[in-house]
Amino acid sequence: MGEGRPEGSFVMPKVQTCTERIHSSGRWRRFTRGLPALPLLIAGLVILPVAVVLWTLLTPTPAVWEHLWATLLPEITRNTMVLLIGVGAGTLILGTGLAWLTVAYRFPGHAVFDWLLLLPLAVPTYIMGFVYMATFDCAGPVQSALRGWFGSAIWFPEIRSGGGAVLVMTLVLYPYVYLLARAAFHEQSGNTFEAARAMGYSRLQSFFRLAIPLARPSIAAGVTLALMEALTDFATVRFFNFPTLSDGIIRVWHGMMDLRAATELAGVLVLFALVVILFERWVRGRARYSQKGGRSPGIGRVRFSGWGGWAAAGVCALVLAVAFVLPVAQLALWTVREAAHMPPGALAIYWELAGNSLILSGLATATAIVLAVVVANGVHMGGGRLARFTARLATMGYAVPGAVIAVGVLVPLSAFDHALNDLVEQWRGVTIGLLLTGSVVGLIYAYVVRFMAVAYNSVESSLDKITPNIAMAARSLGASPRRLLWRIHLPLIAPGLLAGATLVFVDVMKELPITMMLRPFGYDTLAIWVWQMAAESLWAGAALPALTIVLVGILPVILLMRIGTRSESESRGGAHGPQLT
Amino acid sequence: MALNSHEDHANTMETTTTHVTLRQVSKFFGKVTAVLDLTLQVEKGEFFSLLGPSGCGKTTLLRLIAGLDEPDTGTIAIGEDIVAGGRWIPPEKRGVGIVFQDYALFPHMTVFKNIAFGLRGCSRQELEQRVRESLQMVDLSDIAQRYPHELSGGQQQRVALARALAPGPQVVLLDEPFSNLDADLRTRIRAEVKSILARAGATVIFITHDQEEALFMGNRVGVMNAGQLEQIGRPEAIFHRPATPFVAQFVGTADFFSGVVQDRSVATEVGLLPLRDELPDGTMVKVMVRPDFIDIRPAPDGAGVIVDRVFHGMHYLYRVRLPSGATIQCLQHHNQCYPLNTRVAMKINAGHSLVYFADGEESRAGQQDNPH
Repeated sequence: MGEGRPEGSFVMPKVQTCTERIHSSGRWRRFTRGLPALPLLIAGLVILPVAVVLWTLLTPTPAVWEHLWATLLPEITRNTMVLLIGVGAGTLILGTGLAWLTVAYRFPGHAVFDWLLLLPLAVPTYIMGFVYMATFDCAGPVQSALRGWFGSAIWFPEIRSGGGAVLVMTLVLYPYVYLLARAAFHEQSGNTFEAARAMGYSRLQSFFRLAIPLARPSIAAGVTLALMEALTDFATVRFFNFPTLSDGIIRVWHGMMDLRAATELAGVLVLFALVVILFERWVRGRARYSQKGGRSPGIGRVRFSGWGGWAAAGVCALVLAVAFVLPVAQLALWTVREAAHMPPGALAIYWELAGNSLILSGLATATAIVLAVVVANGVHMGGGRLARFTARLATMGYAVPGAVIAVGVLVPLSAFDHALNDLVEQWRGVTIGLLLTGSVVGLIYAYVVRFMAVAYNSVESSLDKITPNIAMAARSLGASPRRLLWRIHLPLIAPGLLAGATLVFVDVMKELPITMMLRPFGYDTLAIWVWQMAAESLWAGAALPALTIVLVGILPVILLMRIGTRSESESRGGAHGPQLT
Repeated sequence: MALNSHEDHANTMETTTTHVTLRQVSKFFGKVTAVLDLTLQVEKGEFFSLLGPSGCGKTTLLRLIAGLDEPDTGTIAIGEDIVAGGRWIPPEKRGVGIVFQDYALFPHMTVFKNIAFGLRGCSRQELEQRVRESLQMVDLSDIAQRYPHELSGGQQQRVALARALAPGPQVVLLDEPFSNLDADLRTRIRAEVKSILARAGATVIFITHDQEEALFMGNRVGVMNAGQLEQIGRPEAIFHRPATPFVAQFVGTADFFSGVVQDRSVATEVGLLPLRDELPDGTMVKVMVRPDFIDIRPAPDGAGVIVDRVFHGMHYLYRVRLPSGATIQCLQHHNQCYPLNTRVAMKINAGHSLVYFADGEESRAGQQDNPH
């Protein structure tokens, strides 16, 4: 159009002498287009340790393998399998069962148990492990008391066994399954459930035929998380004399300083992690069961009356007692008793170690969050397939056991240090020693690799809430990019960043295998102290740092609880407050 | 090109002032053409509806005007100022208010703060005064301290409107603002929005894929298809004299059948139809009919056969098969109830001037219509 209209009626200023700041959007876009390089670099650094380990698996050293095969490999591989199957089955049954109980039934205290049952998540496996060792071992108070009552002939199951390790890990890891299954059950549409009832299925039948299959992806994800924790643990299995691959790696490295053998073992461990992930994928199938049932009400609760109700409450109370109250009470008791006759200077050591933990966790958290923001921003700004792929790579560390990451970080760092040393020695004739190996840098690097996913998920989910239109609306209302960042983006993602930071902080603080293998010589943390004391059977000495770790560990549980209650109110179509993460 | 003329545009818009001007604007996303060589002028104070199917580029066009995207070629001017093409004015400096389909309210701010966001550089008192006025305008004075998630869809919609209007923008862009509301609410709210916008006196560009909404909201309607404007005109003109088969089908229901020009008429399966324009004999044309253009009556030697009948309360909608196999729809009063398979004769209703297209012309046909 416009062909018949006199050209002059269209006022087009030919000279652009306007003092208006010309916002060169072209330059800006070129800049942001260059940014994916940064996420790619981050992803590269994250996968480097795993790549190193996998590479050694592809280039095996036969002599090392023969030795490993002849000594510890058969036992630790078998134990690892037993542990995976045991913990998998245990957390599956306990987590799913408790989730269904608290979602679908009304019984005395169901609303409180609903979130109390998450608390065992605050207890790291190794702390649970040594408390159970101390309590139920031959010399412990339980067996002593039983012998006192029934004589020394009384039989008691051997706690120092694979069964003991599986039990202890199941008790503190079931909340992963519980949390995800519970969320999945809450999301399920009550209408679907009632449709099944109308077609003649009983409540229990509907549970097995409908609720469980629908929640399958979530349950599988929960079990996978629990299994990853079981794979990364080396301390608990050591207490229970049930060595697994993680334990093997640490033994080989610490006992013989044999990095080559440790790397080969790490390769096997990676394969195990891979099997777990493939298993999850297989269980999940192609199905994406999301029942965003609109305003449909959730599955209604049924009242458990009389004895049934008390039995349900009793089961919840029992689980809570053995998985949380017992260890915390025991630690508190030891701490109080120990406080009475504490050697001088012990408290000073405690503060020093706490300080070390704080510094390490703080540094790792800050690094992980910043990197997560960079990667998530790349995805959010519409980076496309490459950015999403980069994000997946950058967050794969959660599936890699700590010992593997530690080995994978050690190999390139020591190679770098040796190369640097050779270079300096040739050039200046002096030895500078190891620069990165055994430094805080390597330690933080490994932490970030392992916990990047935790930070990333929080950042991503809070960025996701900001629809592009929100930014557009702010711009059209006169906000400069700066004001957009400060008034819209930061306030909206701040709660998510904070939650992510809390999760990473606590994870790093509890972390043991990476800290064990990579910490600078003599640089101890609370977790290390717990491990060392407990390994020497100095239970009471380990109590104070262990109690500290558990109490700090309650923080993320509270965060998870709040997320849980929010999704619950959402699924019921109710109003929900400003979102947290 | 369409064969029928559009004389209703011939003498308009000489005296009004152009407010938003797009000249030969194109925008590509990779290999996808979103907007192609598009020229458009919207007058000051006008309600302009941009109508098109999803994916036709209408939202891109709106984003280009707002400055949320930059055109690859062409220029955009608001008032006298070029804002894109040779010079770039960022969105925050354009004085353009936008109401988004999802409202895009800031979830962490109250209604009051949402509206105050665009009011900068005024005193606290003045700010409160202006927010209060905005809230009054949309009749939401009592919910200033609520958060967006505590509001109903209709309330969110009005807050979004108040927020866009509060800074007193020259141009207001609405991107499918009613599509998230349920049908009942939609009819009520759009009348409300129309009167609020009219009172605000801004130039309005309104995007929708709903023809009824476009015809209701716009003083003028532009029908967009595949990145280009097929026709611009008053709602009545768009409906009664569509410039292209695409417009005919997109706005209202339309059927087509072929005919040949013979001595100032068109010979068709339905009979001879009068032709207004001079066309050489033998020209193949396509005739557009709307369901209410045609009357049918049972006739044993009739050309059509009733193949479907739907009861619409006041009317029956018949589908009649012609000898060529083509079917046309016709709307009959509810007292004219004929069984299926009845042979019928058809008569084109007087009072409608027929619309013809050159035969073979499909939905795509360049820009037809020039209002100036």
